Amino acid sequence: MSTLVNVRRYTWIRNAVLAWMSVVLFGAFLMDIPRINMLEHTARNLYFHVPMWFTMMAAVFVSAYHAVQLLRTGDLVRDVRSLQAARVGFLFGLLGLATGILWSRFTWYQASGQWWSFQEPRQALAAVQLLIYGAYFVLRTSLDDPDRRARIAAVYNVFAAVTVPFLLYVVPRQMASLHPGAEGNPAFSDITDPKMRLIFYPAVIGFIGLFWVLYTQRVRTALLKWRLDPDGDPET
Amino acid sequence: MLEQDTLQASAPYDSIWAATEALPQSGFERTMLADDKLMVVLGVVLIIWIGLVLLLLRNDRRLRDLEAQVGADGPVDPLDL
Repeated sequence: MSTLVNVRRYTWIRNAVLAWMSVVLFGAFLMDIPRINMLEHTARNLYFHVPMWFTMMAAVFVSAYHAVQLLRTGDLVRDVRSLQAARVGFLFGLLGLATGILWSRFTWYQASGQWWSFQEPRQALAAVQLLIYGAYFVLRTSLDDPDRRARIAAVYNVFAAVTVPFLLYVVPRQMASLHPGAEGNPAFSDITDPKMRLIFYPAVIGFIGLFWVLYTQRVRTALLKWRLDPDGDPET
Repeated sequence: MLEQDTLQASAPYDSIWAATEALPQSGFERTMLADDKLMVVLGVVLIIWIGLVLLLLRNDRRLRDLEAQVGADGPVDPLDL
């Protein structure tokens, strides 16, 4: 039963996360920051764009953890949790990609007017990363037997999670890129004011908390659906 | 030939500073670049907001389906007294 949701704890954390994020939003816009060339006010996107990827990584970790537990125990509740963590994490990845596209359009690509370039390893590999998780969802829908689906999907899930640090960190850092923290480009923390961390770290915590709330909400719904129809599929 | 390709391919990495003022800007670009590019931050926040709202609406639809499954009477609407 420990895999089921503690609603009291959920409600408490939900309220805390919502209050926390409200404060972070005010801080993100009200705290004065130095205007650096080219970045100007967009340096504030540090509080929004970067936590998307931190959150996606946290989500992927939760998803892979439950995938491993599924393989260990065969408990299908683990499969429900693994799937919902991957779904919400995928959303955060999409938001990270979309916000990155907008940000780069008015900084790196301000003059060329581009929205996208496959020569940019950071963006291209982030897109590949999302495709790898896209394949996870497709794989699930192609299998009918819940137990079989859970096991095969869990194995693929672990593989997908292992690719994350390489595609989002290791490889792009070896290549020339306009994204900060790459070969020939300083890390963002080196070019921005240290006081921005006062908002950045709380924003990371807040978005990961928001992920947890949305994920738990979806787990609750999925488990309820399953309980109403125990012979039906837990979830595809 | 190869060299030419490389040169063309490197266009997005060209230093943009000199050309920034020279290129004509569309109205959308002017809006986004105004006020030290503050509108770009608004755009980023709105993308995230819209994404989260869409998830919220999807979750609501799932709940509605479940409520319909529980019974036509379903839970009582607190506003419909």
